[in-house]
Amino acid sequence: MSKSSNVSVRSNVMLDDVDHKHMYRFLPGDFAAQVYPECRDVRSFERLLTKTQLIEKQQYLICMLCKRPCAGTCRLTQLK
Amino acid sequence: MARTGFGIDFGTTNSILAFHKIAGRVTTPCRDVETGMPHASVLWYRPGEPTKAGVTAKKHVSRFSGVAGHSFVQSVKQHLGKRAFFDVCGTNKPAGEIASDLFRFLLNEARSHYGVNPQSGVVTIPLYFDGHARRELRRAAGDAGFHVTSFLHEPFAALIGYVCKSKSRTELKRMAGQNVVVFDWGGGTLDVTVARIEQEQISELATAGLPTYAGNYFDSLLSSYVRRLFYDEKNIPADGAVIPPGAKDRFLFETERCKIALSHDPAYTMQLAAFCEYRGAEYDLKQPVTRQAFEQEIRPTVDTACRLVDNALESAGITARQVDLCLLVGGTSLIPLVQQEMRERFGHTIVSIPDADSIIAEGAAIADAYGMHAAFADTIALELSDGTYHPVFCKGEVALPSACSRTLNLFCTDNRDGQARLILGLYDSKRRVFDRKAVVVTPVSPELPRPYHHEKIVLDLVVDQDLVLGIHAKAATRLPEETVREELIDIRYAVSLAGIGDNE
Repeated sequence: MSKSSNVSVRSNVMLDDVDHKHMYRFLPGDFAAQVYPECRDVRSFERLLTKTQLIEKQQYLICMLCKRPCAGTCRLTQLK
Repeated sequence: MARTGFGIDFGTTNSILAFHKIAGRVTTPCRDVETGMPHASVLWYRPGEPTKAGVTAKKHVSRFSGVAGHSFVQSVKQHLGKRAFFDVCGTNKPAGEIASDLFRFLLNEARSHYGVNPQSGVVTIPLYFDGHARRELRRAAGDAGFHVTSFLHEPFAALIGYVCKSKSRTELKRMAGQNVVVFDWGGGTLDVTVARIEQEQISELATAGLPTYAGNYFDSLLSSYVRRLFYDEKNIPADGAVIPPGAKDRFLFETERCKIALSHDPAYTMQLAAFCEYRGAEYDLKQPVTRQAFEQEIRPTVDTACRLVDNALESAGITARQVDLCLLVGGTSLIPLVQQEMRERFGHTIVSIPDADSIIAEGAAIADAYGMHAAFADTIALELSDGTYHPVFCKGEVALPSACSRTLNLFCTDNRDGQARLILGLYDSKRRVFDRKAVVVTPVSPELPRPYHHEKIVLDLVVDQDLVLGIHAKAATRLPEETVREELIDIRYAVSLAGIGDNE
Protein backbone atom coordinates (compact mmCIF):
# COMPACT_ATOMS: atom_id res chain seq x y z
CA MET A 1 0.00 0.00 0.00
CA SER A 2 3.07 2.22 -0.01
CA LYS A 3 2.95 5.09 -2.47
CA SER A 4 6.51 4.42 -3.55
CA SER A 5 5.48 1.04 -4.97
CA ASN A 6 3.07 0.11 -7.73
CA VAL A 7 2.67 -3.39 -6.34
CA SER A 8 -0.37 -3.91 -4.17
CA VAL A 9 -2.45 -6.73 -2.79
CA ARG A 10 -5.46 -7.49 -4.96
CA SER A 11 -8.80 -8.67 -3.76
CA ASN A 12 -9.70 -12.27 -4.56
CA VAL A 13 -13.34 -12.29 -3.50
CA MET A 14 -16.55 -11.76 -5.40
CA LEU A 15 -20.17 -11.42 -4.36
CA ASP A 16 -21.98 -14.73 -4.28
CA ASP A 17 -25.35 -13.69 -5.71
CA VAL A 18 -27.46 -14.17 -8.82
CA ASP A 19 -25.77 -11.27 -10.62
CA HIS A 20 -22.47 -13.11 -10.44
CA LYS A 21 -23.58 -16.63 -11.34
CA HIS A 22 -20.92 -17.12 -14.05
CA MET A 23 -18.32 -17.59 -11.37
CA TYR A 24 -15.52 -18.68 -13.72
CA ARG A 25 -15.42 -15.17 -15.25
CA PHE A 26 -14.05 -13.76 -12.01
CA LEU A 27 -11.20 -16.25 -11.63
CA PRO A 28 -7.64 -15.58 -12.81
CA GLY A 29 -7.42 -16.99 -16.36
CA ASP A 30 -4.83 -19.67 -15.58
CA PHE A 31 -6.81 -20.81 -12.54
CA ALA A 32 -10.10 -20.91 -14.47
CA ALA A 33 -8.42 -23.17 -17.04
CA GLN A 34 -7.14 -25.37 -14.25
CA VAL A 35 -10.45 -25.97 -12.45
CA TYR A 36 -13.06 -25.61 -15.20
CA PRO A 37 -12.44 -28.17 -17.97
CA GLU A 38 -14.52 -26.15 -20.47
CA CYS A 39 -12.13 -23.20 -20.00
CA ARG A 40 -9.28 -25.45 -21.11
CA ASP A 41 -11.04 -26.62 -24.25
CA VAL A 42 -9.52 -24.92 -27.30
CA ARG A 43 -12.93 -24.89 -28.97
CA SER A 44 -14.58 -22.82 -26.27
CA PHE A 45 -12.12 -21.03 -24.02
CA GLU A 46 -11.76 -17.91 -26.16
CA ARG A 47 -15.51 -17.43 -26.00
CA LEU A 48 -15.85 -18.19 -22.30
CA LEU A 49 -12.96 -16.23 -20.86
CA THR A 50 -12.65 -12.46 -20.63
CA LYS A 51 -9.86 -10.54 -22.33
CA THR A 52 -7.89 -10.25 -19.08
CA GLN A 53 -8.37 -13.92 -18.34
CA LEU A 54 -7.01 -14.84 -21.77
CA ILE A 55 -3.86 -12.80 -21.10
CA GLU A 56 -3.52 -14.38 -17.66
CA LYS A 57 -3.95 -17.87 -19.13
CA GLN A 58 -1.31 -17.26 -21.77
CA GLN A 59 1.24 -16.28 -19.10
CA TYR A 60 1.34 -19.91 -17.98
CA LEU A 61 1.30 -21.73 -21.32
CA ILE A 62 4.45 -23.72 -22.01
CA CYS A 63 6.36 -22.13 -24.88
CA MET A 64 6.93 -24.51 -27.80
CA LEU A 65 10.40 -23.09 -28.35
CA CYS A 66 11.93 -22.68 -24.91
CA LYS A 67 9.71 -25.22 -23.11
CA ARG A 68 9.02 -22.79 -20.28
CA PRO A 69 5.99 -20.61 -19.42
CA CYS A 70 7.80 -17.58 -20.84
CA ALA A 71 4.70 -15.65 -21.96
CA GLY A 72 6.41 -14.90 -25.27
CA THR A 73 9.42 -13.24 -23.73
CA CYS A 74 12.09 -15.84 -24.53
CA ARG A 75 14.92 -15.16 -26.93
CA LEU A 76 13.81 -17.88 -29.31
CA THR A 77 10.34 -16.34 -29.68
CA GLN A 78 11.94 -12.92 -30.34
CA LEU A 79 14.14 -14.39 -33.07
CA LYS A 80 11.18 -16.10 -34.70
CA MET B 1 -38.24 21.68 29.12
CA ALA B 2 -35.50 22.75 26.74
CA ARG B 3 -32.71 20.25 26.38
CA THR B 4 -29.25 20.71 27.88
CA GLY B 5 -26.43 18.87 26.20
CA PHE B 6 -23.17 17.86 27.88
CA GLY B 7 -19.77 17.35 26.34
CA ILE B 8 -16.47 16.27 27.83
CA ASP B 9 -13.03 16.90 26.41
CA PHE B 10 -10.99 14.24 28.21
CA GLY B 11 -7.50 15.52 27.53
CA THR B 12 -3.98 14.31 28.18
CA THR B 13 -2.94 17.54 29.90
CA ASN B 14 -6.23 19.27 30.65
CA SER B 15 -9.86 18.12 30.74
CA ILE B 16 -13.06 20.08 30.75
CA LEU B 17 -16.82 19.54 30.75
CA ALA B 18 -19.17 21.96 29.01
CA PHE B 19 -22.93 22.21 28.70
CA HIS B 20 -25.14 23.81 26.08
CA LYS B 21 -28.69 25.01 26.67
CA ILE B 22 -30.74 25.14 23.50
CA ALA B 23 -33.01 27.77 25.06
CA GLY B 24 -30.95 30.93 24.76
CA ARG B 25 -28.26 29.02 22.87
CA VAL B 26 -25.74 29.36 25.67
CA THR B 27 -22.64 27.20 25.99
CA THR B 28 -20.87 27.16 29.35
CA PRO B 29 -17.50 25.50 29.95
CA CYS B 30 -17.11 24.31 33.57
CA ARG B 31 -13.68 25.78 34.28
CA ASP B 32 -11.74 25.68 37.50
CA VAL B 33 -13.42 28.38 39.59
CA GLU B 34 -10.16 29.59 41.14
CA THR B 35 -8.01 29.93 38.05
CA GLY B 36 -10.61 30.15 35.28
CA MET B 37 -8.63 27.51 33.39
CA PRO B 38 -9.56 23.96 32.31
CA HIS B 39 -8.87 21.28 34.93
CA ALA B 40 -5.41 19.74 34.86
CA SER B 41 -5.62 15.98 34.12
CA VAL B 42 -3.61 15.21 37.25
CA LEU B 43 -4.78 13.03 40.14
CA TRP B 44 -3.41 13.01 43.67
CA TYR B 45 -3.90 9.92 45.79
CA ARG B 46 -3.31 9.55 49.55
CA PRO B 47 -4.35 6.52 51.58
CA GLY B 48 -7.52 7.19 53.60
CA GLU B 49 -7.99 10.61 52.01
CA PRO B 50 -10.38 11.57 49.20
CA THR B 51 -8.74 11.70 45.77
CA LYS B 52 -7.88 15.21 44.61
CA ALA B 53 -7.62 16.19 40.97
CA GLY B 54 -7.18 19.18 38.71
CA VAL B 55 -5.30 22.32 39.64
CA THR B 56 -5.14 21.36 43.35
CA ALA B 57 -3.38 18.10 42.49
CA LYS B 58 -1.04 19.78 40.03
CA LYS B 59 -0.10 22.49 42.56
CA HIS B 60 0.97 19.87 45.08
CA VAL B 61 3.14 17.80 42.76
CA SER B 62 6.22 19.88 43.49
CA ARG B 63 5.73 19.52 47.27
CA PHE B 64 4.68 15.91 47.66
CA SER B 65 5.90 14.01 44.62
CA GLY B 66 8.18 11.21 45.79
CA VAL B 67 7.04 11.63 49.39
CA ALA B 68 5.84 8.35 50.92
CA GLY B 69 2.04 8.09 51.02
CA HIS B 70 1.49 10.42 48.06
CA SER B 71 0.94 9.28 44.48
CA PHE B 72 0.37 11.46 41.45
CA VAL B 73 -0.91 10.26 38.09
CA GLN B 74 -1.00 12.36 34.94
CA SER B 75 -1.59 11.78 31.20
CA VAL B 76 -3.76 8.74 31.94
CA LYS B 77 -5.47 9.13 28.56
CA GLN B 78 -2.36 7.95 26.74
CA HIS B 79 -2.52 4.64 28.63
CA LEU B 80 -6.16 3.77 27.95
CA GLY B 81 -6.78 0.58 26.01
CA LYS B 82 -3.26 -0.70 26.69
CA ARG B 83 -4.01 -2.67 29.86
CA ALA B 84 -1.80 -0.23 31.77
CA PHE B 85 -1.55 -0.10 35.55
CA PHE B 86 -0.26 2.65 37.84
CA ASP B 87 1.37 2.26 41.21
CA VAL B 88 -1.00 4.18 43.48
CA CYS B 89 0.13 4.18 47.11
CA GLY B 90 1.50 0.66 46.82
CA THR B 91 -1.39 -0.87 44.88
CA ASN B 92 -1.73 -1.46 41.17
CA LYS B 93 -4.59 0.61 39.81
CA PRO B 94 -5.76 0.14 36.19
CA ALA B 95 -5.72 3.17 33.90
CA GLY B 96 -9.48 2.83 33.44
CA GLU B 97 -10.12 3.34 37.17
CA ILE B 98 -7.91 6.41 37.23
CA ALA B 99 -9.76 7.80 34.21
CA SER B 100 -12.98 7.10 36.08
CA ASP B 101 -11.72 9.17 39.05
CA LEU B 102 -11.00 12.06 36.70
CA PHE B 103 -14.49 11.80 35.17
CA ARG B 104 -15.96 11.78 38.69
CA PHE B 105 -14.01 14.93 39.54
CA LEU B 106 -15.22 16.74 36.39
CA LEU B 107 -18.84 15.76 37.10
CA ASN B 108 -18.62 16.86 40.74
CA GLU B 109 -17.09 20.20 39.79
CA ALA B 110 -19.94 20.81 37.32
CA ARG B 111 -22.54 19.86 39.96
CA SER B 112 -21.11 21.89 42.80
CA HIS B 113 -20.08 25.06 40.96
CA TYR B 114 -22.33 25.25 37.91
CA GLY B 115 -25.63 23.83 39.17
CA VAL B 116 -26.02 21.19 36.48
CA ASN B 117 -26.35 17.45 36.80
CA PRO B 118 -24.61 15.78 33.85
CA GLN B 119 -25.64 12.15 33.42
CA SER B 120 -25.02 11.56 29.74
CA GLY B 121 -23.39 13.29 26.82
CA VAL B 122 -20.77 13.27 24.09
CA VAL B 123 -17.12 12.56 24.86
CA THR B 124 -14.39 13.52 22.43
CA ILE B 125 -11.56 11.23 21.34
CA PRO B 126 -8.36 11.64 19.36
CA LEU B 127 -8.19 10.10 15.90
CA TYR B 128 -5.81 7.31 16.92
CA PHE B 129 -8.05 5.93 19.71
CA ASP B 130 -8.71 2.30 18.82
CA GLY B 131 -11.61 0.10 19.89
CA HIS B 132 -9.92 -0.94 23.16
CA ALA B 133 -9.24 2.64 24.19
CA ARG B 134 -12.76 3.74 23.30
CA ARG B 135 -14.31 0.89 25.26
CA GLU B 136 -12.14 1.58 28.32
CA LEU B 137 -12.99 5.29 28.15
CA ARG B 138 -16.73 4.50 27.88
CA ARG B 139 -16.46 2.12 30.84
CA ALA B 140 -14.55 4.70 32.89
CA ALA B 141 -17.20 7.35 32.20
CA GLY B 142 -19.96 4.84 33.00
CA ASP B 143 -18.34 3.91 36.33
CA ALA B 144 -18.36 7.59 37.23
CA GLY B 145 -22.09 7.79 36.40
CA PHE B 146 -21.84 9.39 32.96
CA HIS B 147 -23.33 7.59 29.98
CA VAL B 148 -21.48 8.28 26.73
CA THR B 149 -24.16 8.81 24.08
CA SER B 150 -21.58 9.12 21.34
CA PHE B 151 -17.92 9.78 20.64
CA LEU B 152 -16.74 12.58 18.41
CA HIS B 153 -13.28 13.24 16.96
CA GLU B 154 -11.65 16.10 18.86
CA PRO B 155 -10.85 18.42 15.92
CA PHE B 156 -14.31 17.79 14.48
CA ALA B 157 -15.86 18.75 17.83
CA ALA B 158 -13.78 21.95 17.82
CA LEU B 159 -15.15 22.81 14.40
CA ILE B 160 -18.74 22.12 15.49
CA GLY B 161 -18.10 24.31 18.52
CA TYR B 162 -16.72 27.15 16.43
CA VAL B 163 -19.42 26.99 13.77
CA CYS B 164 -22.48 26.31 15.91
CA LYS B 165 -21.70 28.25 19.08
CA SER B 166 -22.55 31.71 17.97
CA LYS B 167 -23.19 31.77 14.24
CA SER B 168 -26.68 32.76 13.14
CA ARG B 169 -28.67 30.79 10.60
CA THR B 170 -27.78 33.34 7.89
CA GLU B 171 -24.08 33.21 8.77
CA LEU B 172 -24.17 29.42 8.67
CA LYS B 173 -25.74 29.52 5.21
CA ARG B 174 -23.06 31.94 4.09
CA MET B 175 -20.37 29.56 5.29
CA ALA B 176 -21.64 26.76 3.04
CA GLY B 177 -18.98 25.51 0.65
CA GLN B 178 -16.07 26.56 2.85
CA ASN B 179 -13.10 24.25 3.38
CA VAL B 180 -11.74 24.18 6.90
CA VAL B 181 -8.52 22.87 8.42
CA VAL B 182 -8.51 22.11 12.13
CA PHE B 183 -5.03 21.72 13.55
CA ASP B 184 -5.41 20.30 17.05
CA TRP B 185 -2.03 19.89 18.72
CA GLY B 186 -2.42 19.19 22.42
CA GLY B 187 -0.40 17.47 25.10
CA GLY B 188 -0.80 13.93 23.83
CA THR B 189 -1.51 13.97 20.11
CA LEU B 190 -1.63 16.00 16.95
CA ASP B 191 -4.88 15.60 15.06
CA VAL B 192 -5.49 17.28 11.72
CA THR B 193 -8.89 17.35 10.10
CA VAL B 194 -9.83 18.82 6.76
CA ALA B 195 -13.57 19.40 6.62
CA ARG B 196 -16.17 21.05 4.45
CA ILE B 197 -19.14 23.05 5.62
CA GLU B 198 -22.15 22.33 3.45
CA GLN B 199 -25.72 23.65 3.43
CA GLU B 200 -26.98 21.46 6.23
CA GLN B 201 -23.96 19.52 7.35
CA ILE B 202 -20.27 19.45 8.17
CA SER B 203 -18.24 16.58 6.71
CA GLU B 204 -14.72 15.38 7.38
CA LEU B 205 -12.80 15.25 4.07
CA ALA B 206 -9.53 13.90 5.45
CA THR B 207 -8.01 13.17 8.80
CA ALA B 208 -4.44 12.60 9.89
CA GLY B 209 -2.96 12.00 13.29
CA LEU B 210 0.40 11.88 14.98
CA PRO B 211 0.17 10.13 18.33
CA THR B 212 2.96 10.66 20.91
CA TYR B 213 4.62 13.60 19.14
CA ALA B 214 2.85 16.36 21.01
CA GLY B 215 3.22 18.60 24.03
CA ASN B 216 4.48 15.85 26.33
CA TYR B 217 7.10 14.88 23.78
CA PHE B 218 8.25 18.51 23.57
CA ASP B 219 8.54 18.49 27.36
CA SER B 220 10.83 15.47 27.19
CA LEU B 221 12.92 17.09 24.41
CA LEU B 222 13.26 20.24 26.49
CA SER B 223 14.08 18.35 29.66
CA SER B 224 16.86 16.34 27.98
CA TYR B 225 18.23 19.54 26.45
CA VAL B 226 18.29 21.28 29.85
CA ARG B 227 19.86 18.24 31.54
CA ARG B 228 22.53 18.14 28.85
CA LEU B 229 23.36 21.83 29.35
CA PHE B 230 23.38 21.51 33.11
CA TYR B 231 25.65 18.46 33.20
CA ASP B 232 28.07 20.06 30.73
CA GLU B 233 28.22 23.23 32.79
CA LYS B 234 28.81 21.42 36.07
CA ASN B 235 31.14 18.83 34.54
CA ILE B 236 28.96 15.99 35.79
CA PRO B 237 28.88 12.79 33.74
CA ALA B 238 25.25 12.16 32.66
CA ASP B 239 25.31 8.58 33.90
CA GLY B 240 26.79 9.54 37.27
CA ALA B 241 24.15 12.05 38.40
CA VAL B 242 21.14 10.84 40.33
CA ILE B 243 17.85 12.71 40.13
CA PRO B 244 15.75 11.81 43.20
CA PRO B 245 12.22 10.49 42.37
CA GLY B 246 10.50 13.58 43.78
CA ALA B 247 12.74 15.91 41.78
CA LYS B 248 11.85 14.05 38.57
CA ASP B 249 8.19 15.10 38.76
CA ARG B 250 9.08 18.63 39.87
CA PHE B 251 11.53 18.87 36.99
CA LEU B 252 8.85 17.75 34.52
CA PHE B 253 6.42 20.38 35.77
CA GLU B 254 9.10 23.06 35.67
CA THR B 255 9.88 21.99 32.09
CA GLU B 256 6.22 22.38 31.14
CA ARG B 257 6.16 25.82 32.76
CA CYS B 258 9.29 26.78 30.82
CA LYS B 259 7.74 25.59 27.54
CA ILE B 260 4.59 27.66 28.15
CA ALA B 261 6.64 30.72 29.17
CA LEU B 262 8.73 30.49 25.98
CA SER B 263 5.55 30.93 23.93
CA HIS B 264 5.39 34.58 25.03
CA ASP B 265 8.90 35.34 26.36
CA PRO B 266 12.18 35.02 24.43
CA ALA B 267 13.91 33.36 27.42
CA TYR B 268 13.13 31.65 30.70
CA THR B 269 15.31 30.47 33.58
CA MET B 270 14.44 27.06 34.95
CA GLN B 271 15.01 26.85 38.70
CA LEU B 272 14.76 23.83 40.92
CA ALA B 273 16.17 23.21 44.40
CA ALA B 274 17.88 19.88 45.09
CA PHE B 275 17.70 18.86 41.43
CA CYS B 276 20.34 16.14 41.46
CA GLU B 277 23.03 14.44 43.50
CA TYR B 278 26.55 13.59 42.43
CA ARG B 279 29.26 12.11 44.67
CA GLY B 280 27.37 13.08 47.82
CA ALA B 281 26.87 16.71 46.77
CA GLU B 282 23.44 18.17 46.04
CA TYR B 283 22.98 20.48 43.07
CA ASP B 284 20.31 23.12 42.44
CA LEU B 285 19.16 23.81 38.91
CA LYS B 286 19.35 27.31 37.53
CA GLN B 287 19.42 27.08 33.78
CA PRO B 288 18.44 29.82 31.32
CA VAL B 289 16.72 28.54 28.16
CA THR B 290 16.08 30.64 25.08
CA ARG B 291 13.15 30.27 22.71
CA GLN B 292 15.60 29.93 19.83
CA ALA B 293 17.26 26.90 21.44
CA PHE B 294 13.90 25.33 22.22
CA GLU B 295 12.71 25.83 18.65
CA GLN B 296 15.88 24.22 17.36
CA GLU B 297 15.09 21.14 19.46
CA ILE B 298 11.49 20.83 18.25
CA ARG B 299 12.09 21.81 14.60
CA PRO B 300 12.14 18.23 13.17
CA THR B 301 8.82 17.40 14.87
CA VAL B 302 7.23 20.64 13.68
CA ASP B 303 8.37 19.80 10.14
CA THR B 304 6.77 16.36 10.46
CA ALA B 305 3.54 18.02 11.62
CA CYS B 306 3.59 20.34 8.61
CA ARG B 307 4.05 17.39 6.26
CA LEU B 308 1.07 15.75 7.95
CA VAL B 309 -1.04 18.83 7.19
CA ASP B 310 0.12 18.77 3.56
CA ASN B 311 -0.74 15.06 3.28
CA ALA B 312 -4.19 15.65 4.77
CA LEU B 313 -4.84 18.43 2.26
CA GLU B 314 -3.66 16.20 -0.57
CA SER B 315 -5.89 13.33 0.44
CA ALA B 316 -8.83 15.76 0.73
CA GLY B 317 -8.10 16.82 -2.84
CA ILE B 318 -7.61 20.51 -2.04
CA THR B 319 -4.67 22.89 -1.81
CA ALA B 320 -3.77 25.31 1.00
CA ARG B 321 -5.09 28.15 -1.18
CA GLN B 322 -8.53 26.56 -1.23
CA VAL B 323 -8.75 26.61 2.56
CA ASP B 324 -11.18 29.27 3.77
CA LEU B 325 -10.77 28.81 7.49
CA CYS B 326 -8.05 27.42 9.72
CA LEU B 327 -8.55 26.72 13.41
CA LEU B 328 -5.56 26.22 15.69
CA VAL B 329 -6.58 24.31 18.79
CA GLY B 330 -4.59 22.88 21.70
CA GLY B 331 -1.74 24.21 23.81
CA THR B 332 1.06 23.12 21.45
CA SER B 333 -0.49 25.23 18.66
CA LEU B 334 0.42 28.30 20.72
CA ILE B 335 4.16 27.72 20.21
CA PRO B 336 5.38 30.63 18.04
CA LEU B 337 7.24 28.33 15.61
CA VAL B 338 4.06 26.30 15.00
CA GLN B 339 2.00 29.47 14.53
CA GLN B 340 4.58 30.83 12.09
CA GLU B 341 4.54 27.62 10.00
CA MET B 342 0.75 27.62 9.90
CA ARG B 343 0.65 31.32 8.97
CA GLU B 344 2.98 30.60 6.07
CA ARG B 345 0.51 27.99 4.82
CA PHE B 346 -2.86 29.47 5.60
CA GLY B 347 -2.19 33.21 6.14
CA HIS B 348 -5.23 35.28 7.01
CA THR B 349 -7.57 32.28 7.09
CA ILE B 350 -6.33 31.46 10.60
CA VAL B 351 -8.93 32.72 13.04
CA SER B 352 -8.43 33.31 16.72
CA ILE B 353 -10.92 31.30 18.70
CA PRO B 354 -12.28 32.78 21.89
CA ASP B 355 -12.14 30.09 24.60
CA ALA B 356 -9.82 27.93 22.47
CA ASP B 357 -9.05 25.75 25.51
CA SER B 358 -12.69 24.71 25.90
CA ILE B 359 -13.94 24.76 22.30
CA ILE B 360 -13.72 20.95 21.93
CA ALA B 361 -15.92 20.31 24.97
CA GLU B 362 -18.30 23.04 23.84
CA GLY B 363 -18.63 21.43 20.41
CA ALA B 364 -19.34 18.08 22.05
CA ALA B 365 -22.01 19.69 24.26
CA ILE B 366 -23.66 21.27 21.21
CA ALA B 367 -23.60 17.93 19.38
CA ASP B 368 -25.30 16.32 22.38
CA ALA B 369 -27.88 19.08 22.80
CA TYR B 370 -29.01 18.86 19.17
CA GLY B 371 -28.75 15.08 19.06
CA MET B 372 -26.27 15.18 16.16
CA HIS B 373 -25.65 11.63 15.05
CA ALA B 374 -22.48 10.84 13.18
CA ALA B 375 -23.15 9.79 9.61
CA PHE B 376 -20.66 8.33 7.16
CA ALA B 377 -18.90 11.08 5.22
CA ASP B 378 -17.80 8.56 2.56
CA THR B 379 -19.11 5.37 1.09
CA ILE B 380 -17.49 2.36 2.71
CA ALA B 381 -16.91 -0.22 0.01
CA LEU B 382 -15.48 -3.69 -0.52
CA GLU B 383 -13.00 -4.15 -3.35
CA LEU B 384 -13.92 -7.06 -5.60
CA SER B 385 -11.63 -9.27 -7.64
CA ASP B 386 -12.69 -7.67 -10.94
CA GLY B 387 -11.48 -4.26 -9.70
CA THR B 388 -14.94 -2.88 -8.96
CA TYR B 389 -16.19 -1.69 -5.57
CA HIS B 390 -19.29 -2.88 -3.81
CA PRO B 391 -20.79 -0.21 -1.50
CA VAL B 392 -21.47 -1.56 1.96
CA PHE B 393 -22.43 1.59 3.86
CA CYS B 394 -23.44 4.61 1.83
CA LYS B 395 -22.37 8.21 2.27
CA GLY B 396 -24.81 10.04 4.51
CA GLU B 397 -26.05 6.89 6.23
CA VAL B 398 -26.34 7.50 9.98
CA ALA B 399 -23.84 5.34 11.87
CA LEU B 400 -26.24 4.09 14.51
CA PRO B 401 -25.32 0.70 15.97
CA SER B 402 -28.88 -0.56 15.59
CA ALA B 403 -28.99 0.27 11.87
CA CYS B 404 -25.46 -0.35 10.72
CA SER B 405 -24.87 -4.01 10.17
CA ARG B 406 -24.44 -5.86 6.90
CA THR B 407 -23.79 -9.46 5.95
CA LEU B 408 -22.18 -10.25 2.61
CA ASN B 409 -21.93 -13.69 1.07
CA LEU B 410 -18.79 -13.98 -0.98
CA PHE B 411 -16.79 -16.60 -2.81
CA CYS B 412 -13.04 -16.78 -3.20
CA THR B 413 -11.89 -16.45 -6.80
CA ASP B 414 -8.49 -18.02 -6.19
CA ASN B 415 -7.93 -20.19 -3.15
CA ARG B 416 -4.59 -21.70 -4.24
CA ASP B 417 -2.65 -19.72 -1.62
CA GLY B 418 -5.12 -20.66 1.13
CA GLN B 419 -6.31 -17.13 1.80
CA ALA B 420 -9.13 -14.84 0.84
CA ARG B 421 -8.23 -11.15 0.83
CA LEU B 422 -11.04 -8.81 1.80
CA ILE B 423 -10.14 -5.20 1.12
CA LEU B 424 -12.29 -2.46 2.62
CA GLY B 425 -11.92 1.24 2.08
CA LEU B 426 -13.55 4.57 1.50
CA TYR B 427 -14.82 5.07 -2.05
CA ASP B 428 -15.29 8.48 -3.58
CA SER B 429 -17.46 7.87 -6.64
CA LYS B 430 -17.04 11.46 -7.90
CA ARG B 431 -13.26 11.37 -7.94
CA ARG B 432 -13.24 7.59 -8.53
CA VAL B 433 -10.76 7.19 -5.70
CA PHE B 434 -10.65 4.17 -3.43
CA ASP B 435 -8.79 4.80 -0.20
CA ARG B 436 -7.82 1.40 1.23
CA LYS B 437 -8.31 1.15 4.96
CA ALA B 438 -8.21 -2.53 5.85
CA VAL B 439 -6.96 -5.74 4.27
CA VAL B 440 -8.49 -8.69 6.08
CA VAL B 441 -6.86 -12.00 5.27
CA THR B 442 -9.18 -14.94 5.91
CA PRO B 443 -7.88 -18.52 5.79
CA VAL B 444 -9.61 -20.76 3.26
CA SER B 445 -8.92 -24.30 2.13
CA PRO B 446 -6.19 -24.39 -0.53
CA GLU B 447 -7.51 -27.67 -1.94
CA LEU B 448 -8.93 -27.92 -5.45
CA PRO B 449 -11.72 -30.52 -5.30
CA ARG B 450 -13.06 -32.14 -8.47
CA PRO B 451 -15.61 -31.08 -9.55
CA TYR B 452 -14.45 -27.71 -8.36
CA HIS B 453 -16.59 -25.68 -5.99
CA HIS B 454 -15.70 -22.26 -4.68
CA GLU B 455 -14.77 -21.49 -1.12
CA LYS B 456 -17.64 -19.45 0.34
CA ILE B 457 -16.99 -16.65 2.83
CA VAL B 458 -19.43 -14.86 5.08
CA LEU B 459 -18.47 -11.27 5.89
CA ASP B 460 -20.24 -9.46 8.73
CA LEU B 461 -19.76 -5.72 9.15
CA VAL B 462 -21.13 -4.02 12.25
CA VAL B 463 -20.72 -0.45 13.49
CA ASP B 464 -20.85 -0.42 17.27
CA GLN B 465 -21.76 2.34 19.73
CA ASP B 466 -18.10 3.44 19.84
CA LEU B 467 -18.14 4.13 16.09
CA VAL B 468 -15.80 1.24 15.46
CA LEU B 469 -16.49 -0.84 12.38
CA GLY B 470 -16.18 -4.50 13.36
CA ILE B 471 -15.15 -6.80 10.50
CA HIS B 472 -15.84 -10.51 11.02
CA ALA B 473 -15.01 -12.93 8.21
CA LYS B 474 -15.17 -16.70 8.07
CA ALA B 475 -14.87 -19.29 5.33
CA ALA B 476 -17.80 -21.69 5.24
CA THR B 477 -15.49 -24.69 5.63
CA ARG B 478 -13.83 -23.31 8.75
CA LEU B 479 -14.85 -23.60 12.40
CA PRO B 480 -16.54 -20.63 14.13
CA GLU B 481 -13.46 -20.08 16.31
CA GLU B 482 -11.45 -19.49 13.15
CA THR B 483 -13.44 -16.33 12.41
CA VAL B 484 -11.11 -13.45 11.63
CA ARG B 485 -12.02 -10.34 13.63
CA GLU B 486 -10.66 -6.92 12.87
CA GLU B 487 -11.63 -3.36 13.61
CA LEU B 488 -11.63 -0.27 11.46
CA ILE B 489 -11.50 3.07 13.26
CA ASP B 490 -10.19 5.28 10.51
CA ILE B 491 -13.60 6.34 9.22
CA ARG B 492 -14.64 9.89 8.42
CA TYR B 493 -17.92 11.26 9.67
CA ALA B 494 -20.40 14.03 8.96
CA VAL B 495 -23.00 15.67 11.18
CA SER B 496 -26.19 17.47 10.31
CA LEU B 497 -26.58 21.16 11.17
CA ALA B 498 -30.38 21.04 10.92
CA GLY B 499 -31.98 22.96 13.74
CA ILE B 500 -28.92 25.06 14.62
CA GLY B 501 -29.85 28.72 14.99
CA ASP B 502 -33.51 28.08 14.16
CA ASN B 503 -34.82 29.90 17.21
CA GLU B 504 -33.24 33.26 16.29
